[in-house]
Amino acid sequence: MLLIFMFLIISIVSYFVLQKNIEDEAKENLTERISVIDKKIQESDILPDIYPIVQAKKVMRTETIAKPFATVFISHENNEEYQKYIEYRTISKINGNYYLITVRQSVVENKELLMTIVISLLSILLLTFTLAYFLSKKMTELLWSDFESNLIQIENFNFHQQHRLILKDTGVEEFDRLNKVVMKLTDKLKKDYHNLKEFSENASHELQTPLAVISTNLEEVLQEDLPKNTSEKVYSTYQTIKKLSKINQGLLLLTKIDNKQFTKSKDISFADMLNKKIEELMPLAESKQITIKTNITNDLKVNANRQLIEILLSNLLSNAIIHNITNGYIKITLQNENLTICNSGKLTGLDNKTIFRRFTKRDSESSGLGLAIAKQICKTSKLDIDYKFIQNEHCIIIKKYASSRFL
Amino acid sequence: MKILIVEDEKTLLATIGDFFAGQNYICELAGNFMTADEKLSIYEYDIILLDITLPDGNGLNLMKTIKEYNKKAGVIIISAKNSLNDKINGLDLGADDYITKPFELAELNSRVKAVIRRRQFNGNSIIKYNEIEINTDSKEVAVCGQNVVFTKKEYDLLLFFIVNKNRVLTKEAIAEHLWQDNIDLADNFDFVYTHINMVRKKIKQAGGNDYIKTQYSMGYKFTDL
Repeated sequence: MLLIFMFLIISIVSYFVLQKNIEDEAKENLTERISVIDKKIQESDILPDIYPIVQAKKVMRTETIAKPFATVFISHENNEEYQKYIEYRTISKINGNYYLITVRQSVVENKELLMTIVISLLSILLLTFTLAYFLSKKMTELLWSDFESNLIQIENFNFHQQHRLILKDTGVEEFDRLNKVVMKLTDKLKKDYHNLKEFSENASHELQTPLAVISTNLEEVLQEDLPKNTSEKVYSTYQTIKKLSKINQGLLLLTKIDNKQFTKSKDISFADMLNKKIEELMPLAESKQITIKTNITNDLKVNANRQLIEILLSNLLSNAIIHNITNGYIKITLQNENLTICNSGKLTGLDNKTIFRRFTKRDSESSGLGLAIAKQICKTSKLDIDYKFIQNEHCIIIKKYASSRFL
Repeated sequence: MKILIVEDEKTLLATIGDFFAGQNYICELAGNFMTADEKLSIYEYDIILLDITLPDGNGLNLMKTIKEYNKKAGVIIISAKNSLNDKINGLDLGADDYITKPFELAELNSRVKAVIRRRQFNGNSIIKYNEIEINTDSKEVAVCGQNVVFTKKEYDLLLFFIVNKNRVLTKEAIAEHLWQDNIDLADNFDFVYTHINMVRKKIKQAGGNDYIKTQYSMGYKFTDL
């Protein structure tokens, strides 16, 4: 808009300036020519008559000419078109006679003048814009290419990576300052993150030996012939220590999965592992008269750690048994790369938003880590895990990641 | 049986020592890498319990000394880290078993006995308890000379009881022994009762005595006293 407006203003101004200049120039020319013609008449006494450029006429008396300059349009005999002329009329006194001398000069017509201006202005503008466009494109590429690659680096950065975030020097002071700040921040965050992970792992490890001391000592005390209420107290302490050990082991496992301390192997078969685990846990199910129905039509193969997948299936299957009712059932379906484990149980569904969080307990006795571990194993094995309560059945559904994007 | 216990935590070392002394083992204790290394190069042992995180060295490095001077000894690694790498490394270096802290003494005992059986009798061993006979090689049980069919879990349970006879075994220890720690068992021990009742029933049916005594509500004791 602004450009068009500016273009208009420049056009109008230059139109008037040019017109004025041309007219002034013409007028100057004409007055000069008058003096030449005056001289000629004086010398030869012949009146020049070259229509429409020069005309001279003898006049009788002194006339005053109101407007010496005028703009006239004259057409040539064989031409329809009118030509624009600047006309100058003056009365000269030569050899005692008065002559009316008219000189005319053709000037460029307004329309043509305007066209010329517009065309030249337009071409200049066009040229400038094209040049500016290519120049700025080139400049942008030069300026932003490093910035762009840095941006991609930042987008893809995550704390699990081994290497630091290193950003390219862009050569632009502000960007380089930003890079420095971002690098400093990520280094600090990464360090803190690793320290925290290391701390939780070390803390859990360090707890194992004291826990071993307490539990073995309590075990020995339990062997003694103690009064009933003392023995009950010792036993409940022992149970608490057992629970504490379980929580500690669960946390340790979670930390180790977080720290990616499990190496993956290819094509772990869920079908094989399921059959193995079902066979292992069958006695547990039988003790509660739970029937297990399996429907394994095809396999689900993943790149994962064998030990972790075993833990995952153990957790899910033992949950399905423990949280089941006597004479209940478990339905295990492995179809189209989807594993579904459904079990009968309490008639109220659980909150699938909190169920996979650490220390969300279905009852006060469980450690509250089983499903958090299952979730973490699924995440590291690129599997999706979900819980649904359908037709009074508690169902856990596992499938491969739909998208390859993994954060 | 001579046993060397290498463990830097003194209380734990003493408890394990007392426990095995009570089981009629000759126990020697080493609280650090240096003492253990010295003892290993002078004396001969049947069983070595080896903690791998010692203040003055990695216990796994003692495996070399063991291979040199104590070829016959069975080694059980005790670790605070439940790490598969440590386990594989240890077993690769010639250890017989691997146990993670915290552990049950009864569990440690049953592992030690299993290692001794494998080492001394080449896996061909009959364990006798009055009228009950267990062949740990073929995993067969005979009561009063009559073969009784046990499921794998029932067999494990009976062997665990006999190896830890006259000891109170808590429900937790039994559950852990039967299922390892890969199950979050909560406080649900129905299956322990079920298995124990099955074992009792099968022994009784074959004419044996019921040696499994209930200890209040905490567990069981296998005893003929």
